[in-house]
Amino acid sequence: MRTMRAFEERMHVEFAGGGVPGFVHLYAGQEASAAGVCAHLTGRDVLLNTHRAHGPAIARGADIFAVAKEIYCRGDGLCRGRGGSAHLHDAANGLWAANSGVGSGVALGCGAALAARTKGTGGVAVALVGDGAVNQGVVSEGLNLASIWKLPLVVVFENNGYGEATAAEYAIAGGSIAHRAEAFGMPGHRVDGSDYFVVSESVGTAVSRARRGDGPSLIEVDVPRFFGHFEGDAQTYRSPEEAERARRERDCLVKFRESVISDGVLEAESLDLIDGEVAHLIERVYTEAKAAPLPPDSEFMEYIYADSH
Amino acid sequence: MPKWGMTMATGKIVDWIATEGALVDEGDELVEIETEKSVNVLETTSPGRLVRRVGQEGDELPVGALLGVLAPPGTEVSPEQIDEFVAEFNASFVPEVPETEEVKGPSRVTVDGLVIAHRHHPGGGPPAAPPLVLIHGFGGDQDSWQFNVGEIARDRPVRTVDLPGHGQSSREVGDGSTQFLAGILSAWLDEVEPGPVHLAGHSLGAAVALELASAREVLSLTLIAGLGPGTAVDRDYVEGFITAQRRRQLKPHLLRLFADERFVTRDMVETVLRAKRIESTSEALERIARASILATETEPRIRLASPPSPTQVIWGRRDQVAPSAQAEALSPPLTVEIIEGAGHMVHVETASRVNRLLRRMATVHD
Amino acid sequence: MVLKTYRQAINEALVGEMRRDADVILMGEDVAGGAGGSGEDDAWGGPLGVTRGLLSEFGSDRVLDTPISEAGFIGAAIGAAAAGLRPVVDLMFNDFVGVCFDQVVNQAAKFRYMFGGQDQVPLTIRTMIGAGLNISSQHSQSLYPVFSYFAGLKVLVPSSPYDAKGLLTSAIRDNDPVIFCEHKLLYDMVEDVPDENYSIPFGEANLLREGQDVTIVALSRMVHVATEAAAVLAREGIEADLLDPRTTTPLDTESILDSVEATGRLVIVDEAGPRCGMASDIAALVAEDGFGHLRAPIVKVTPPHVPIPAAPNLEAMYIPDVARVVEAVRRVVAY
Repeated sequence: MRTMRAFEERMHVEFAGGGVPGFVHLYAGQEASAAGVCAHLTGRDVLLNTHRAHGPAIARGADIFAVAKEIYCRGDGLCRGRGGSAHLHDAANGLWAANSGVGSGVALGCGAALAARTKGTGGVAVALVGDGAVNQGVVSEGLNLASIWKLPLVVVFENNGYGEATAAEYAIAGGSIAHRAEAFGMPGHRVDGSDYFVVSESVGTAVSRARRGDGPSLIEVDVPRFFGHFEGDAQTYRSPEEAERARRERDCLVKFRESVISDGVLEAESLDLIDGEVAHLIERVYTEAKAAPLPPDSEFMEYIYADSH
Repeated sequence: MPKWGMTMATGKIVDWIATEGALVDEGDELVEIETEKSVNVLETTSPGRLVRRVGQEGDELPVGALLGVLAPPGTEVSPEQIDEFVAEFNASFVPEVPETEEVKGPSRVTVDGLVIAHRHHPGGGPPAAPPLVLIHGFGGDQDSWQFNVGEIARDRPVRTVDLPGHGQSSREVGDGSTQFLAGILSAWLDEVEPGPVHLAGHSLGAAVALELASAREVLSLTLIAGLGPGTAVDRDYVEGFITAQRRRQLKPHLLRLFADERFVTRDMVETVLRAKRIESTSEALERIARASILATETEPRIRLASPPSPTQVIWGRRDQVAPSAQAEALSPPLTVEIIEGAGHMVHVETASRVNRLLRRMATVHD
Repeated sequence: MVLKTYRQAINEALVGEMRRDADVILMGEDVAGGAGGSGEDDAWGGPLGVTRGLLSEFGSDRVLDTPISEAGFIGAAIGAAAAGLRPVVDLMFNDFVGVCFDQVVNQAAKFRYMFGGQDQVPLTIRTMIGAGLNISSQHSQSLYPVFSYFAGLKVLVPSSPYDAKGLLTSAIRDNDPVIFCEHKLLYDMVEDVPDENYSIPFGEANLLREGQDVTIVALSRMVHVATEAAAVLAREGIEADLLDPRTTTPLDTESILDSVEATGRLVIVDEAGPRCGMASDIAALVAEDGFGHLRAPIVKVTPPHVPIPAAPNLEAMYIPDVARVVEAVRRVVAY
């Protein structure tokens, strides 16, 4: 979680300074969600990312240097500079990319889950979806398919309160994503996404259920979004106090630190040590990513087809 | 009008080669005829004087129609007698309906676990005439004999067959050796034609025929553009033919089979491509090529010094795949016919000549 | 020689590949036709009976009826393909791509490229094209030019039973997403189709007829219209080179350009619309790369720029016919 946070805080600064191609959507504030999900995934599982992609990619175990290089569109980025910030995909680590046409991860996840079941791998698929995508037709279609075919799929809606600039409260009829699970005949829960342990417990239950062959589940993770929709977003659609309050009251890292120290699980010194190592790592990651070359011009037409004719 | 190919219904007179009134001998070129599949020269099958050219250049005539009138040598015929003959012929001539067997496709039998596609063409000769069995070459199929079957069947039944790995036969080819291929054909003959037969093989088919002739009773043997193991064959052709998967890749290789490139029609390229596309075909051809064509063997000239049956060898002078020089080096008891102006597919390009040689060989050795 | 319909040929390719490779699965609306009802589970075998008999042989784990939700099940097929299966998914009418366009053109087409070649999507989408059944404009379009726009997709337009079996076999074995466009008026067409498995390579135009006077390029069912027209023209002494590209991506540009180099004239017959279609695309190709060989303007024979009507008389005006092709060829030859 600290790595995700530090990565995004630094990205915020770097983007403002120029030099980051395209646009980026930062995950800061939502780290407990990705961490809570990935804690339950193994190498045979597939995590379907959203376009707010950096945090989940790091949590899934993608090489953080390759993540940064991809965001900088470098030749040895995760996707060789073809995808950029919003499309971080790491096949070797069971991370499937984000989709700019949001919500497709649910349908693609049905397929990954179907393949896992058909091939008998024991794998599950977890689709991350933002609250902004919940009203996409493909999301309902995917949930329906997952349910009638009883697929090993968990759909995690990260509700950060805004689909771009439009409030979830305005856009989502009925006011609850979790309640929609009932219509599809699957369990649905809303959990506090600022608490790693709560997220982890809920996801753990759902993943076990999927792995047992008992079918899909839906989890709505209530998370704060510390930055704007994308970098450069003036966020005039929400009050300045809202983001400040979220940082003050719902920071998953602060909650985690308090919790593990008060429960005697970890010492403050250990956490500080980790934070220090992370700071050092992030410095190296950004230095290396910025210095890396863009993809060679000669490979412009590569990777379109697997079989050429 | 000769019948070259089972579906041939008409032919067009392109060019009269023999002049009216000329004395012609057996094998002399009479007239050039174009069918929908080829242009071929009709040769005289008996000596005589060409007393009338009935069909004119440009005429499209049905199979069996009167092309011209040949009077026996030494006889005098008046113009009135010729008119009468032509009138009588035309009064009784009914064009035949093209055979439908090709539309139905070949028959299939299972031999030693392999499906073998074959055709039987009933003969028009004496009832007991032993049949002629025709074995096609590498990469071809039994339809490569389409210009030969009709004329030969005037004397005797003809059997054609798709070799394993070819046409509509199974793609299982064992070790790809001529011994394996001949073994399958021998088992096939046991099934369909257990008695004595005449054999003719083209190219790879010649090697198989030679092998067969050592294993069973063969009355006569015709080796066309192939001498069995050790035949000098262009390696680039064989490998290029195997690897070509597309029309534009294949056509240049097919062109090398002929002296006259007009024979390489769209239909021919398509037929070969369709056979090659069948699953496992390339592997089967590759195996046969390695074991039966490209393997170096004994010198054919020495091996053929005492052939298993009376044997004639036919070759095209302009063969670009297997040079004709190796046939020219052969000596008796083999009889050797080198045909000018023909390429590797000599039985297609000069069908009339080859048909005459095949008919004579079989008739002499019945 | 074994005569089979286009429908049987497609069915045979599916059976052949499903027997050969356990990763091949079939999904779509009513591909079995009967899941969950009180009658037979394989009542339909596809709305036009193309996939009949597959459920009984391969079972419901490999032959999956889907709800009517194209975005959902095509997305699932893409995911399944990326995860190692080889799904053949039925998008019943190509017109319905409107509700799953994102899946086809943004997910399937880009899954490999956008992720730097890490994955592949061995997916075949079977879909019906073509007018002629009086079922109006949401069931009758020929949208292969639309699919051909997108790099990452391969697009097939088989015009005969033989081509259908060979191309579908290749499609299922191919490691990229393939759109397999079946013309609904061809299902009962009969042709000699081998019993064995065979595959036809992509990007290989079929030369149906050789001639020196004009090149006719025709696609899908228009190949038969053009064949008939070429026969009429031959009686007038005009010999046409007739090419069926068979696949619009990849497109056999070499065969087209070589033919035009020999004939100097080009007529393109396409049932897809006149704007931004294959006819325009091929015309542009020859105008750019074969201009020096042209002896007459290129002529496109296509429907007009209009949605497809249901009324039989109007639909007949829509679909290019033999007379229009003959007239177009006469025009370029006389130019």
